[in-house]
Amino acid sequence: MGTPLEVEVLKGIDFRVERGEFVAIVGQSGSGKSTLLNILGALDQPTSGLVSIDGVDISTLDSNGLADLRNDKIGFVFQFHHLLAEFTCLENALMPIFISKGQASSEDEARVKALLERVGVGHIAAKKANQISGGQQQRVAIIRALSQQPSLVLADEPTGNLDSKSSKDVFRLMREMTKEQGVTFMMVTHDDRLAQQADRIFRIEDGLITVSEGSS
Amino acid sequence: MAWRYVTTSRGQTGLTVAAVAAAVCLIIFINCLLQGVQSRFINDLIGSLAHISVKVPDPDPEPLDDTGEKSYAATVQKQLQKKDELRRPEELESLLHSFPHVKFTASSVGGQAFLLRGAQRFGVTVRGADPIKQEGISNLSDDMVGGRWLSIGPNDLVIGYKLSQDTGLKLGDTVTLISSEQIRKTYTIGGIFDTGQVQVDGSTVFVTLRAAQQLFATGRDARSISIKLDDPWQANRVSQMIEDSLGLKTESWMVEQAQLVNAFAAQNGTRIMISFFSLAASAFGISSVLIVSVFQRSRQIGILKSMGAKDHQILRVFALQGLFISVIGALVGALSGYSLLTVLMSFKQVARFGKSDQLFPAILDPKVFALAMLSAIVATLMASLLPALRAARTNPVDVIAEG
Repeated sequence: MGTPLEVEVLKGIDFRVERGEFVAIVGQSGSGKSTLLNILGALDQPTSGLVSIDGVDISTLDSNGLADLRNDKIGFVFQFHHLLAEFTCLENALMPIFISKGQASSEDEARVKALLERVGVGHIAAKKANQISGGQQQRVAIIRALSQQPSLVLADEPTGNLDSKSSKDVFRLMREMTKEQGVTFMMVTHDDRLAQQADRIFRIEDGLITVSEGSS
Repeated sequence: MAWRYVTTSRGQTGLTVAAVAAAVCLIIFINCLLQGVQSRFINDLIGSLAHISVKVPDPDPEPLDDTGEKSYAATVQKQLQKKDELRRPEELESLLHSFPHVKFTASSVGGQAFLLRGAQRFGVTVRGADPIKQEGISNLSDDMVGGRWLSIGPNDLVIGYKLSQDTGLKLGDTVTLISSEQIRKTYTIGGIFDTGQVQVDGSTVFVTLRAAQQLFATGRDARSISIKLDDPWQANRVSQMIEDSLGLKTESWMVEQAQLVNAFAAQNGTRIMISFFSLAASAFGISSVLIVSVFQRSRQIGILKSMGAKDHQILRVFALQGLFISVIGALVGALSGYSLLTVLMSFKQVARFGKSDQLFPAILDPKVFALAMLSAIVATLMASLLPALRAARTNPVDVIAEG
């Protein structure tokens, strides 16, 4: 067995994102957007450099510490909703709380129910995840990402699998939740028009980032 | 979560539960049935015999002076058997009860005699013992087809059905015995038994201990003490313990019936092998189904890990899934095994003298049920460990990227 081939995807990038900021990450396929998201989400470690989430240097954490960080401070929204079909929408939205505490308190449940109501899916909270539409599934997935009141939500093309109306609705909701919940959103997207509505746009090219202001 | 996985994937759960249940049912069925068959076999063959017979030891051989024409330095010759009896048999019996597994003891005097019937003489083996005590050894009352056994007096004789046919004797007839000691006594036929063993039924007669002591002139002594154990398979061990501590000669049924014991050992080996392979086959099946389950859920596992689920939490979900399957499967299997055996045990076959025997003489042994269930649970848990570990090691980046 030879040494594994090492490919440098991101090259010495350096940025800081403020609390409550909405950042769009754009770039060609294979430019390193997902790698950046995985590193920011403590799913992957950089080969060099420092990544600090809410003041915590992720390189100092072991696998359990990284899991706690993901549960406590980071929320994920994927292109596919990835809801668990065996569970109801409410249970899916409460899943990060189940993971950290084993069960949700009545306060947690009331708060998450209110969030589901807020994004217009409160009425389907008791339905199984595979019994609702794609747009509704993605809204539930957004609330799941917010249920633990994280500092940072990472969204990997969250509207990529939706029709244009649902796509606009979901994006609008994410923007509103950023303001209401005071959470930082970093969203990878191929859609330039959506990206323009972010506070800042990180464009990744050849492993390097250029930052520009959005039009919002 | 594990419970939700178990209850929502009903087809998959049903398949794995059925695999565990089938293995448990098979193990219980095979073991209970073979145990019953073996027990019936032992009971039929050695049921009327003692597990251990305690006797007076043979005297040590002594060198004899050479008195013949040829000259030898010395000749060693076993002494001719002396009619040494066990003295104070009642005290010895109480002593024997202090040994492990000893359940019943009965002092007896036995020997050869002639039964006179007109001009004819029939060679018989006389066994004299206290009927109540002997009942613990040979359970003769179950084989009685006429008259009585437990309440016979010193002048009563109990004979086998075949002997009664051969001699034409019936209940209430009087008959004379002449013992090897040339003592002659007359008895009344008090009972007739049928053990189903031709040799016993055709040539053995039972009398009280006192009657036998008189017939063979042993005074108050006994010639042997029969022992019945609560576990016949301990006979060799207990036998050795008695020899070592009391210095008496013992005969264990396991030595006397060595071929039978070997056959049982082979049967037990087969039983264990069948049980083991049933469990192994079931475990492989379960492992395969759970591996498929983990593969199908790999993306879900990745998502859970991205939400902060730790390796041990994922491991626990799939191990618990295995535990649920194994416990439900074990219960279903035990219940099926119990039902199957209960139905089979109700089938009867008619034996002689209107008695009926079970066609399938299974024994519903709680230990077999407990062991089968426990081993199935352990095997299933071990089988679920590999898929659970694979699930725990899932890299969320890999599976989420697959979309």
